[in-house]
Amino acid sequence: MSVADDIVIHTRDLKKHYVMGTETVRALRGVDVDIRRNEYIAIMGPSGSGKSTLMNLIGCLDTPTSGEYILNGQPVQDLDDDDLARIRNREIGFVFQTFNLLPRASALHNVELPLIYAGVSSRERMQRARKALEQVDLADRMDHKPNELSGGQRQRVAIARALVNQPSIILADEPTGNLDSVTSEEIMSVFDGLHRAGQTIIMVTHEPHITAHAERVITLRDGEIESHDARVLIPATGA
Amino acid sequence: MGLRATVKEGLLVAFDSLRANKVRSGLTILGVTIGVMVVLVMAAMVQGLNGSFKDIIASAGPTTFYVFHAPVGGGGLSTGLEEEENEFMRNPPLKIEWSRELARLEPIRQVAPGVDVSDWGYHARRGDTDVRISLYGVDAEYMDMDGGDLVDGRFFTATEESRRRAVAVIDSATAVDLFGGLDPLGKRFNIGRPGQRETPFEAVGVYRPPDNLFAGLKTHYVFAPFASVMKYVRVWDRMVYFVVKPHDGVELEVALEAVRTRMRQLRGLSPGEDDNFYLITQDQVMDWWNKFTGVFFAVMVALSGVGLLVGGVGVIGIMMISVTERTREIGLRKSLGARRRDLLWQFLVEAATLTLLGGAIGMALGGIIVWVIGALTPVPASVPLWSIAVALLASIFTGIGFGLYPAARGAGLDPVDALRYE
Repeated sequence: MSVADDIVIHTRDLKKHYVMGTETVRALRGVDVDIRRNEYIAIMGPSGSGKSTLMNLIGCLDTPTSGEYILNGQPVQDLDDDDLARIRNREIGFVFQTFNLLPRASALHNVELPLIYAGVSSRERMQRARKALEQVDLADRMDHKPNELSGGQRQRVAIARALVNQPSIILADEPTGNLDSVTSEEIMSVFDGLHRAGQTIIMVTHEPHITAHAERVITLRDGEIESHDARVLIPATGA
Repeated sequence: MGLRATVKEGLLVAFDSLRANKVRSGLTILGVTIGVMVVLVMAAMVQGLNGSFKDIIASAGPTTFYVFHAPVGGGGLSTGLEEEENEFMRNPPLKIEWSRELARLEPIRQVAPGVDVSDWGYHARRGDTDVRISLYGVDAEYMDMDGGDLVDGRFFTATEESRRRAVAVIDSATAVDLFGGLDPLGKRFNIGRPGQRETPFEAVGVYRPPDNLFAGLKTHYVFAPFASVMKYVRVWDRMVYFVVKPHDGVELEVALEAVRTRMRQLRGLSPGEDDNFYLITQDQVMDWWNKFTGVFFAVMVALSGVGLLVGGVGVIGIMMISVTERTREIGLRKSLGARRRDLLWQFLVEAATLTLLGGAIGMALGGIIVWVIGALTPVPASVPLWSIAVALLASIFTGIGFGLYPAARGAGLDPVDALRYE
């Protein structure tokens, strides 16, 4: 394998086709991406550009029609469902636009979930979930249920959940899409802090000012990469 | 993911959804509750009745057997088969003196003739008071076998029996109906059938039937010496039977063979002919009884099976709803690393928790019913341990069996589609 050691994500000619009735939608038409450890990447593009598809493939939620995808040194394009579940569990921390917390579970239990699927003992789960919540400044909200938390706090619980299993990458899909601008900045500064601490972050967004936080912007259009750095278009403001 | 953590996660989810949908869940598990309740109560009844029946047989002595002139169905109840009816008329009745012949046989300790005309419409009358009675002609040792008690007076003696004295032991119901509040001991009353000659008998004791399930079947018991009944009351000789008690330590088979051989001689049967009498052992009586309760039990199991089936269909419905409602949660859990089998287990545990809860409620209700039956009726109903295990397992497997399809559907969802589900 000719992938350099510090490359976390390496794709070559990644294609994804969907068959809709008699038509074949070519959502990704051959994407080459290399992302190094501790990079902070934003993926942009208009709707229908294939950025969600790319995110699903990078997040191992879906498998490519063809092409190569090496995640953290391991080819994953041909893995079966159970192996993909294991990869998602160990390598990827998802942060969603709608938080996706279990509504009737405490913040602590929500953060514990990935560790349950990792087979971690209950004592260690508690310790690590606590630590992750402390990392996002929610040490005093551990026993609160999502509906007792503000939007920003909920997203921080979700970030703690993404962090708890020490994944190779954090994959955030429009993480500020449901938040007001003040809270958005609060969440973005959490990501900034994680990045400074060495975390690799990939963020899908269509909001230009969010991309200002990233080191590199990948712009997709019609299933292909249009450019590898869009930051020149927007002056970095809040970073 | 360890099985324990999966089961625990399933339990958490199950109790969450129970709390959130109390009415819906309650209705779902109702069928299981009823099914389990019925199984439990029936098992307790059968268990109690069996125990009671075994006690009756044990008090008669395990090697005691009966000689009838024709086949009898379970416990004296005719099976109603035409062939049996024919034999009842075709086979000659037992002659009373044969009982003395049989008693001379070496393995046999005692032979007591008896006559059961409890269903033949005999009446007891005193002045204008008249009650229908269950009349039995028995021997002086009858009480030892029957298990009933004397509440007043005494049972008749062997001497009274051999002298064919017109004495009788009556039960409390007869005593009250016939003598009102008066002490019946030493007083006379008439026994006979309406329109036929009546014979005065003297009441010497008051009897209380044994506290078993048959106590409620008949009432107004009157026991008189067999010989006296044969002498004074016109009973049909086809109703006569012998109670045969072998000596202690004698093999039942040996005693049966001796009695069969002697009976064939007494009947004058030649070697090729079939027996025209019947030897009924306690085992056979027990077999009839087991067959009877077995049918009873099978019907109840079928009924409770219907309950579980209804509950199971409810489980399919509610789990389909639960899976659909939590499509996004399924997507989320998959994105966090849940495998198909983790989610399968989670949903199966949820379904099994529902049905197990239903089963537990059914057991509690059934337990109360059994307790009430035990307290209010002579049926010594008791919940056997195996029925608790069976009921719990049946409810768990109902949940797992019927939850399988919705669980597999939920667990098999594509994570991308599930996460996108609105």
